[in-house]
Amino acid sequence: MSPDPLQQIWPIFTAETREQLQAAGACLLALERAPGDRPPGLMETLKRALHSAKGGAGSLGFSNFEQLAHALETALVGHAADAVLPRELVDRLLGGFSALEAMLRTIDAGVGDTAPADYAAALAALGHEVPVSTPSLVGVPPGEHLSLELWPIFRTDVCDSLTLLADSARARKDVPGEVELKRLFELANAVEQSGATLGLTALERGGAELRGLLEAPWTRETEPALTALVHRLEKVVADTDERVEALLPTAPAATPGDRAAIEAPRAVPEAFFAEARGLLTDLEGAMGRLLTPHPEQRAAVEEEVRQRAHRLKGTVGAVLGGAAGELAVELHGAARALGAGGVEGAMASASLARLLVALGQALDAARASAPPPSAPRPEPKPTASPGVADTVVRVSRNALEALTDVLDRTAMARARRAAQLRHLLELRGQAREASLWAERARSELRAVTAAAPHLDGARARLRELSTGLKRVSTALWRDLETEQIQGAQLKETLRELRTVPAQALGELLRRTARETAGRVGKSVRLELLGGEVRLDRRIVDSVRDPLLHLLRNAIDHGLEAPQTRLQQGKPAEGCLVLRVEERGGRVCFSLADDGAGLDLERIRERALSRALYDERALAALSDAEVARLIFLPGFSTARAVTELSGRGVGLDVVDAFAKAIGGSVSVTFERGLGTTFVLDLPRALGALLGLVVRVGTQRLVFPNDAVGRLLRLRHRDFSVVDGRPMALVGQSRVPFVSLARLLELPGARLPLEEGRPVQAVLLSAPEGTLAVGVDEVLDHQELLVHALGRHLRESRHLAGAAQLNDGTVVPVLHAGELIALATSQATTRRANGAPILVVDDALSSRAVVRHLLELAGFEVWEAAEGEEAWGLLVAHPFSLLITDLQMPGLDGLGLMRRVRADARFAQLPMVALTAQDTAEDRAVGLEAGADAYLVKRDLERGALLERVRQLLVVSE
Amino acid sequence: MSVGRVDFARLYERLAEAEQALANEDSPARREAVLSARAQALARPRAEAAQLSLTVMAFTVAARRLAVPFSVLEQVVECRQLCALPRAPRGVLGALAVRTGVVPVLDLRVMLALPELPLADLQFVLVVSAGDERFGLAVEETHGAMGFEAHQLLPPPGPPFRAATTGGVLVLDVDRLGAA
Repeated sequence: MSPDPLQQIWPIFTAETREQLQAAGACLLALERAPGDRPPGLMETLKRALHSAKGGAGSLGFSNFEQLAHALETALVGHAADAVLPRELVDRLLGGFSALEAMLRTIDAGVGDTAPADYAAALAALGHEVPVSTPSLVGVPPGEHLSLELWPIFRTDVCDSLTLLADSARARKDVPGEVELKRLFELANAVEQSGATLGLTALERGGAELRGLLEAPWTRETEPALTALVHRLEKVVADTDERVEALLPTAPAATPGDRAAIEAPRAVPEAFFAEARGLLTDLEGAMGRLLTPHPEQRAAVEEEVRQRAHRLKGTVGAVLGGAAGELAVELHGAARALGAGGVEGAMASASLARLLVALGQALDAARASAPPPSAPRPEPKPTASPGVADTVVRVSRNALEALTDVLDRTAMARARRAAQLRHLLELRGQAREASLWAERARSELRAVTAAAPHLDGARARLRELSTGLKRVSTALWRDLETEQIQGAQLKETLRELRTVPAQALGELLRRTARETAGRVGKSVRLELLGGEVRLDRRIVDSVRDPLLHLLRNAIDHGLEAPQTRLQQGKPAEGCLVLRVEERGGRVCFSLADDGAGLDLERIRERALSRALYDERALAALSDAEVARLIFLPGFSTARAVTELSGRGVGLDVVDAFAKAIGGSVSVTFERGLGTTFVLDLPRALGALLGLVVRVGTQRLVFPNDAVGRLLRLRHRDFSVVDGRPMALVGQSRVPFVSLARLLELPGARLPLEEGRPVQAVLLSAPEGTLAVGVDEVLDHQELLVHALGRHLRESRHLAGAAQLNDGTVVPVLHAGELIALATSQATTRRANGAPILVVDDALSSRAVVRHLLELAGFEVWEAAEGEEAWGLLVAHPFSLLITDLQMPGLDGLGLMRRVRADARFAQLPMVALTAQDTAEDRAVGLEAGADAYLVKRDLERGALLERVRQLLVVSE
Repeated sequence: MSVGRVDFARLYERLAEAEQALANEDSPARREAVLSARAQALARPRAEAAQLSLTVMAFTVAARRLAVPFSVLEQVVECRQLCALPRAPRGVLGALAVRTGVVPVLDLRVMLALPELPLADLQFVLVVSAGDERFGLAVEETHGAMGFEAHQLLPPPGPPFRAATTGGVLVLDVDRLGAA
């Protein structure tokens, strides 16, 4: 079904060209700066990119594209390599670029280089005429004019808004009230939005200008300016009508008297009928309310009826014309007469009712005779590829996943093969040994006999076997090594496919910054730091909108107006710095402006006026807490609804986004110097360079960027400060803890006790520094970290889990949380204070209890029987007594009775630990004074420690 | 698709709609009526809504016959090479590599407070998806797919179950599992 044999080449063209345009766009922006202030060769790059884009388009028959690229190219003629392009020219060129990009999108959609709405404007701006045959015929089915196809539907809204704006401007003699102003804003906004949706730049800009006018203080000049602007926009509407008329297939001449014939020919979208019907129903509803018993509301309802009638007129008139259109015009006239009052008003409402019914019927008739929607067409996707800096080649995510899977499997197979190879090497060693034995046997035998043909045969075979094995294993080893290198390369490539440098966001952000700044009459420079940081595509995709939001917010509210800046001794041009940083398992986007900082007073006022807080609660908030109020839903400090969205959507959306993916957003500021927003997101889906360590049999991973250095600590490097072990690192002392102890792993004791140095990893994070003892540092590896989800939400020391190259799964630790955990454990231990006394005649169960308690950070003393324990108890303070019941000499029951009888130990909690588990034993034990009763069989870690902790809290 | 993606365009739209709706709302009494009707609808037990036929994967844990709806089941793998997660909650056995990545594996005996039987081997892991996350459930045995008609389904004994069947199989609601 491909209408064009070259169509299969289209994706290659668009991918290539998009890349060129991106590069060219970046050059273009830089060319505004002085030659010394920019890298050399930009002009050449720009011209080359445009030239090759033009050539490519020409060879594929994309004449619209070619024409525009040519226009862009000519606009640059005469500008030398070191020229500084005037801002206004750059704007025009950028307009052309976005038109080119719009065409790339339509080419992607398979409909050729359909001229976008602002095509003519872009060409004209570059001093070129619109070609006579505007729609390129390459693969364009009739009627496929993407955004302009939607024009009839939007047109109504736009005309409406303009009329209302003009009306209120004319009627206005004094400064409008806030409600009125807000309404005007919304109208201006609607115009702008429509322009944006349609891709009609002239309209969009005009809407923005309108908003700008309304935003400024209302002066005597405002009204004429507003009227002039509205007139200009009405002209834009008229122009667009003409263009649409030219693009849509024209209706055959109507035979007089046959109205239905006029209504039939156009392919009217089904959505139109739905909209018209909706308007009709609304209008009926409003009519019903005209009969309100409250005369004071009548005026408002009448106004509503008028507005709806106006919209209906616009919609029906624009799309259908004919009978329905005429009815709609009549209807509008009747609605206007409504306010007349008296007989005229009554007649008007009667005719309105009649016209409503008639119009409903006319619409039904038109719908019945409308031709069915033309053949299935590709979804118009004007917003399908929002960022110019998006993927160059589309790769399905599933394919990537599958690739990862295969790669992991081959890595595992390779690990198995390596193990087999080691076995082979052992066999080779054995063969060599056997060969040696044979040689010795031969020399021993030589004393007895000269000839030993069988033995000689065996010797020869063994030698062959040994050398053969050597040859094979060497070859295999070499292969395996090569494969390992290739595997690593593959993995690296794959990681690159799954991640993109943060730079990819830069272009879009710069352009948005520019547009937004232009819109609000400010000038701004955006710097991106950390553009080389690689981010998971999914994170990049999802962070784009929140970042744009923060960016617009910073320009709109953060930066002062240029005059104000100059007065304050700042350069007129505002500076925004976006910094992308990796922090352990997280990635931070911080956006700093050099504006005025937050106005806490205004935030307080707003919180009060919006009733988010009452005065008392507000007074109790710290400055930082007040600053955070800006993230509350429905909060907006802009005096008017001027923002980007214009709909009162604030930073709460960014906050909600960050929270939804397990991150956070925060704000800091310095009065007069600027505001910084920090978007702190998990990079759990991103790539991470990890340090693999071993503790006992378990392997774990530290994020490499939290690892300061590797340490080998000797006995003399250790000291105890305030009950906490410290390690000497360079000149300073850093808290030390063994990872086994910190994470309650069944780890071996510190090698220190055997006189060997301790292998440790120095972690540093915002939470502090910590030296962590491990058994061995194994490897550095590039890993993909998988989040573990809500069931491990509480286990914050785990950043996730990852698969090592050999396929084994390892936990990935969160350095900051580990440090926090170590600090809190140290605090708990100090709170625990005195040691625990464990009494048991059986060495093994004593050792078990001791081990469990020590792992949890308790200090443990031991005694083998009751009297010995009593001797310790009276001499030292203990926090807890754990005793066996059956013991030689003074048994556990006796010990507990004696302790309970002594007033000095009234507060000492006791745990009876025994092999017995009958009701009687339990009763006897508790009667003897035990606070808890544990059966050895259940001496499972959780139970013992849980009980111990409970008792220690109680006794405090 | 993407994790936690906020569709701003849609959000704006909905906000605008909501504003519009509020603006159109004429009487407080009517609003009250709508809100209370909505509250009642929300308060209706979940089971009532779930009285359709259901296909499940049945399995055994601690001698209990349990099941998960087929719609949430992604794959069944052998429970091998489980990676221990230090200081994880007791209900988490560890992490396991599956086709789609690494998932935590839950111990239903702990999550549902079932008695641990000696010699009971957790042989398989059912990988399920709940919302936009995935996790594994370690089970002793699987019994394949079972279909239940509406009349065979009874109201569940409470969370985290979605339904009970006349045959005595309890169907888990994986979304509510561990959502204390």
